[in-house]
Amino acid sequence: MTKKSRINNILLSIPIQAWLLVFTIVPLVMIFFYAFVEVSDEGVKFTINNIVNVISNDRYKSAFYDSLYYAFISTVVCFILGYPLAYVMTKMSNGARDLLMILLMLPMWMNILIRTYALKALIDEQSILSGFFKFIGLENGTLTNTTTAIIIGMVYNYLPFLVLPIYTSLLKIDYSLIEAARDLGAGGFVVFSKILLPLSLPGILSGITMVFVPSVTTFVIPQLLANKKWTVGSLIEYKFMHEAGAGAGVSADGSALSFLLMIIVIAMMSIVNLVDKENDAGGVV
Amino acid sequence: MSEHIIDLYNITKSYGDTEVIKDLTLYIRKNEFLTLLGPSGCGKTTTLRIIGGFEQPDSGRIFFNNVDITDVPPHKRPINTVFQKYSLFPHMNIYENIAFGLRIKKMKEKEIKEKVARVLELVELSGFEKRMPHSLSGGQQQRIAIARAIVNEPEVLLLDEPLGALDLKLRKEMQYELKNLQKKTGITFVYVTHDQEEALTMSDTIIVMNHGVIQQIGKPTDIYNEPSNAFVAQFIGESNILSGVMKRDYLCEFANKEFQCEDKGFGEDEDVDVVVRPEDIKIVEPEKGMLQGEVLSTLFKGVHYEIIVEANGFKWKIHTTAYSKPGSKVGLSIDPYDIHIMRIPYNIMTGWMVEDNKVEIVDSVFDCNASGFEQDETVSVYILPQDIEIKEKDFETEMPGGTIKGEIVNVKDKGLDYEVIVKCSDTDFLVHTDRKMAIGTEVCLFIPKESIKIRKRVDTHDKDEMSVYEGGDFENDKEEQD
Repeated sequence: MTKKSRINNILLSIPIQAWLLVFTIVPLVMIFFYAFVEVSDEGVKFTINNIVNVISNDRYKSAFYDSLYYAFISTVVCFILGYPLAYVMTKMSNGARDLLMILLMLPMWMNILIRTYALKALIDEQSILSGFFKFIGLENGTLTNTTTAIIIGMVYNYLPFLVLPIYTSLLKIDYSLIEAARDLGAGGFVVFSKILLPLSLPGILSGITMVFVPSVTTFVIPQLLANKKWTVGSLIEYKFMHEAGAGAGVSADGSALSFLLMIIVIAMMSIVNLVDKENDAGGVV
Repeated sequence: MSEHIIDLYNITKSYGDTEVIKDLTLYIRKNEFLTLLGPSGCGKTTTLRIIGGFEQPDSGRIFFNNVDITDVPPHKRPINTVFQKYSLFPHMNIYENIAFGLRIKKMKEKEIKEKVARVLELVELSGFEKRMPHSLSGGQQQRIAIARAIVNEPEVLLLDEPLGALDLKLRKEMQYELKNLQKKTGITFVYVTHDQEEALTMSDTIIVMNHGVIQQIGKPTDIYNEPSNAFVAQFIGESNILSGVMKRDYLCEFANKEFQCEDKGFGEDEDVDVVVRPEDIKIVEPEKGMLQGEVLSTLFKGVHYEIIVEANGFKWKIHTTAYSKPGSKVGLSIDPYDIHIMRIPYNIMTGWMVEDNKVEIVDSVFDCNASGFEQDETVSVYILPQDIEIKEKDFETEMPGGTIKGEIVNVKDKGLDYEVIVKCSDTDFLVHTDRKMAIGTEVCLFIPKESIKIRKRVDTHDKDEMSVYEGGDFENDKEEQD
């Protein structure tokens, strides 16, 4: 690379670097800072008390547990619904597939808040579905404030993010591989478990990540659909926006919670990446 | 005569409106190396896929050792396939690829290990167990694909242009190896290729196909020396193909001249195709030749010269080792046994009986002489190219019987007349006409009702009731090679 083009590259990347600095690096540093310091009259002091407080607090712990649980269940439900859907889409005629794709993507064109409010209106008391909810034995004829409501909300919002990467990776599988497997005596289940599943693994992993990470961190969905249930997301939102006083933007507990959540997400992603790499290296499945 | 391992009876197959296989009947004998040969789109790969179970025929039955397997899915057929693109499983190493079929049979690991080692030795790739497919060259991947198939000890191995992706030198080597492997294992090979040289080199039996119809079945030498029609002659090696008329037994007229020949048994004044190989025409002094003409061009081809001589309105292609000067006058001489006379092949297509004496072909209804069919019954329709009349654009004239519109997609000069291919919707009609027409011309075809021959389609489980191939060559060719 010549010196001139190197200077050009630096110049071109200045705007995005400034953006990242202001909106990613500074907030990250602030989170780290408030998670590990104690601000008092005597000044600023390093401490791990904030972290210890969060970990030893039962209410926070149960929020962590619930968040992971909801995210896990949503991811599993998304996979069970999404994988067959992605597979069927690879077999469809172009017209039918495009139609399905649009139906899947259409809700994504609207803001998540609007979508979730719409869902809330569907499952609330005196909604058009109330009669049905009463019929299946729900008190008050509402799903609001149930785990089911949260799962439905998450699946509804994040399903497309799982279907699309899996669909792409299934599409890349050479159909003659499936024929070769059938030729060698493989029935439907063996074709799925030995050929389709391992070969679409990269798509599955990125799909799972795309569902799990936003599910574990979301606060809009649990708050709107089940405001009596605490998740890490709604807890952090509460800490920063309400407890600390609007606009203060400073919360020791909130920062510590954010920090821990980030550690958990990074750990999850590392495991997923590890599986992905193993697969790339050609591990026998 | 060894027994049949696979029998196909009256197979038809269409994709949309395109009929890729038309009423195909053939058999494959145990332990033979059989090649399906033809240009792309002739239906050879579809035939192979029907045998493998990857395609279902629209009608007709397939038998394996006299058991009907038409409705048996591919994973339950005792047949294995080597695919065109090898199709090795990219996420498994060579050992796992080869062991795939054995694992499904729940074989013990020790036995699998032995079998994999043995089959790797057979394809000369011992020690490759731990390698991944992508780290292998094309030729090696091909051998693994073959190993993966034969490790299951199938009775029949299907090979779909397996050497197509290899370079010339490797292809020649693999041809030799495949032939050896077939002899060593005794597995029946069904091989698909468009490469006539490959077919001639390896096969015990060759089936030449075109437009979904068998053109000829025979040993490689028979196919080359005695092509049964103009298409085969053209496809296997180079040929001069002319239209001719059989005057009587042993006398044929073509290029406006009568020639002695060795063929008989044709009708008097029957239209025929005449085929003369370029190497069978001798260039002599003008006064000593049967035909006199002028050398148009001379091209050096390595072993021989390719000389084009125009004589009696036809451009003859001649292969000879002696040089002739372009522009010079020469005589041409052809020995009677080098003149091959062939019946003109029928256009074979699918029709539907609208009512008695009315058949629908490619969206048009034609008069015909056929009764006793059910309404809307699917039938096979046979029409000779010389019986079809071709009209240019002037479609308004009322023609009795029925017409169909189409476009000329190919024209070939055959001396006395022209052979044109007319595309009507998705169906090609072969038509003979006296007038030279341009490619792209829109035309109208008229078929007199006497020229439309209707045959019942057979779709029954009882193969004893089925009719045999009508051309007659099928049975004869097979007997000759025993």
